[in-house]
Amino acid sequence: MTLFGFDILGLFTLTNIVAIIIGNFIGLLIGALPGLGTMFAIVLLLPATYVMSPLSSVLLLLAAYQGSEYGGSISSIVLGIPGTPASTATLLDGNTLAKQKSPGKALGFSLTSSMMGGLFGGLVLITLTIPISKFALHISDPEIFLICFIGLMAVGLLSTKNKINSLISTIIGLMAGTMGMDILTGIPRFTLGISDLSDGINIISFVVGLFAIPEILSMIGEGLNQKRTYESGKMKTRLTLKEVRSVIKATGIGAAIGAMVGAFPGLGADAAAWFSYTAAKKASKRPELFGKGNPEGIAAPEAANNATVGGSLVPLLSLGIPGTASASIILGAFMIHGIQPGPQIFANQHDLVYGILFGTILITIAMFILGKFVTSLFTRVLLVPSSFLIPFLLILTLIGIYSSKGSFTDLWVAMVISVVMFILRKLEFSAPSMVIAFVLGPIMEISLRRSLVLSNGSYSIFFTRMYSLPLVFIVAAIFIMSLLGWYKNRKKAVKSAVPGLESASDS
Amino acid sequence: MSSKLASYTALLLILLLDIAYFVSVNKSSKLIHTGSESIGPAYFPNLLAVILVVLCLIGLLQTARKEDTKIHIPHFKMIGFTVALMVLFILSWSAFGWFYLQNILFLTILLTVYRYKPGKILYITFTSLLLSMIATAFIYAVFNLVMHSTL
Repeated sequence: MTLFGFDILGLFTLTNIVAIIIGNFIGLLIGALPGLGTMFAIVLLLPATYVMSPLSSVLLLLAAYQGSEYGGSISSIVLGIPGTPASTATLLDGNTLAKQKSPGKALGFSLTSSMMGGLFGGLVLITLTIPISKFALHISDPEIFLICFIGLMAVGLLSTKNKINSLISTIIGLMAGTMGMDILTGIPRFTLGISDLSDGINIISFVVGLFAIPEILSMIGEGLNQKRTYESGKMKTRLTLKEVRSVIKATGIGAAIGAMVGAFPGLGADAAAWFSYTAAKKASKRPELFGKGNPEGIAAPEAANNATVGGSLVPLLSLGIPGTASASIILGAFMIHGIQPGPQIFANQHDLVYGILFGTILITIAMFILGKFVTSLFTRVLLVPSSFLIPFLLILTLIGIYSSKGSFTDLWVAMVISVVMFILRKLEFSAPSMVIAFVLGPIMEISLRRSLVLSNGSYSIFFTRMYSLPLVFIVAAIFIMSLLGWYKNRKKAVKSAVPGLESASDS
Repeated sequence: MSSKLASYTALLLILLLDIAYFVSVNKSSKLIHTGSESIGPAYFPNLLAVILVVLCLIGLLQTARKEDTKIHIPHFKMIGFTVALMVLFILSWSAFGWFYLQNILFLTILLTVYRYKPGKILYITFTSLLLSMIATAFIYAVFNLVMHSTL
């Protein structure tokens, strides 16, 4: 059975199905455990992609991504502790509803709206990716450089409090991406005389060192033998049709916002969850019930954070630019298999791309079915103290790093990065900025050098081409938005530092 | 620890690393002669190095203007112990091999230290050893038998 020239039944191979189930299972589990997050789930599975086909690899990581976005709500609702940053908004109404009615009812709203959000994100991915990639065929190196630059600026300036440290993190990520042999001349750059670094830093070492190990070390800081408890009321996640209809509007708002936000670099699922919570509250007939166990307050953010998965793949597949930090790690899986996403991928890897587009729908359905069965099991896993979990998570991350290339250098690199990042996180440096920059850096460099060779070293090439000019305006707009944001925060800080000034300006 | 002191230290170390990066990349790029006007392998790294210097200087100024706060790292000794044990584990594994045996030891030590209670040390050590052996058997099954990955 073919659709758009793609054999749909070819998606249902044993490897793909197993990848989807395992990815969803690991994603649900890791997402449910407080403090680990979506990135950890994807990073943990990244080494496994070395031995898998490109399609199975991407489906595995996407399933983990999708599964963990729902999984985060389990801890939020049952324990009142966000499992992932994106599930913090869910906590406000989720935990309250769990205590008022039952955890199962609240989880039912979360699972159903996560599925609907995920399906919507998948449909957006299918409908938008192809037209955008057709447009992208008209663009060349100068535009590619500007698109990468926009992505990095958006992440560096829009998503963090400390913009200077975030920009420094971006530059460090770009520098890390230049390490190893220069693609165009073969010259080794900053390899420290270590032959294992001639291919550059292993992406698995880098992301595990940036995210996974520091996160585990933070778990130690939160207390090893904390006993968690929850009301073990009814855990059945079934909803009636009337209950589903009652949250349709909020789910729709969440899904639409999530897909849009996911496609724009720098924002991510947590921003999508909060935007949609606020929008759903404004659009609700009973906004005063938000924060008091209103199912709409669960449906909107959960639909949003799952819709960002599909949304984040739109720029990734069509332009080669990841929309979120998690998508940048999925880009890493493409790189491991020597595939470059972007406009050419539709011509060169037709089956892979359509496999991903339709696979996203399959992943969401699998997440829903698996979620129905394992949610009550995972709530029991939440009671396992960190003293048991941490040693196993540590050894899994070390094995994951080593098994990618069998190199101890990768382990040492990851250890150094993780210790440094553990400290830098306390100083508001941004790990997501570093990883996106690391992944985009080589693409940016090649497109910059080629553009400048074409223009004999003149930067005017970025301002004089038809397709470059709108991108330059977007760069300027992001810069202005960030300056306005900085100015507003400074004004607030001055007002709150001088108490009289605040009431004088209000009157 | 003072956040200002930590920020100054971090930014100065980043600056030093930046200088080392700049020197190393320019030294390597002199190995090929690309002509004085060409956009060679050092072009992009040099751009990044200059931007980083500017950002670090702005960062230092920003830090000077900020109020000092304390950075608190709870359970710092336990975190330090964990990192030290991981380093020893990697050193030992790279020197001697025998991953699965070393893994059992690594997990047992961590589980015992994390779950330590006075008066229950034998019980905790025994259960830690048992859990480590089960976990190692699982890792062996997945990585060696299923994924054919030698550790």
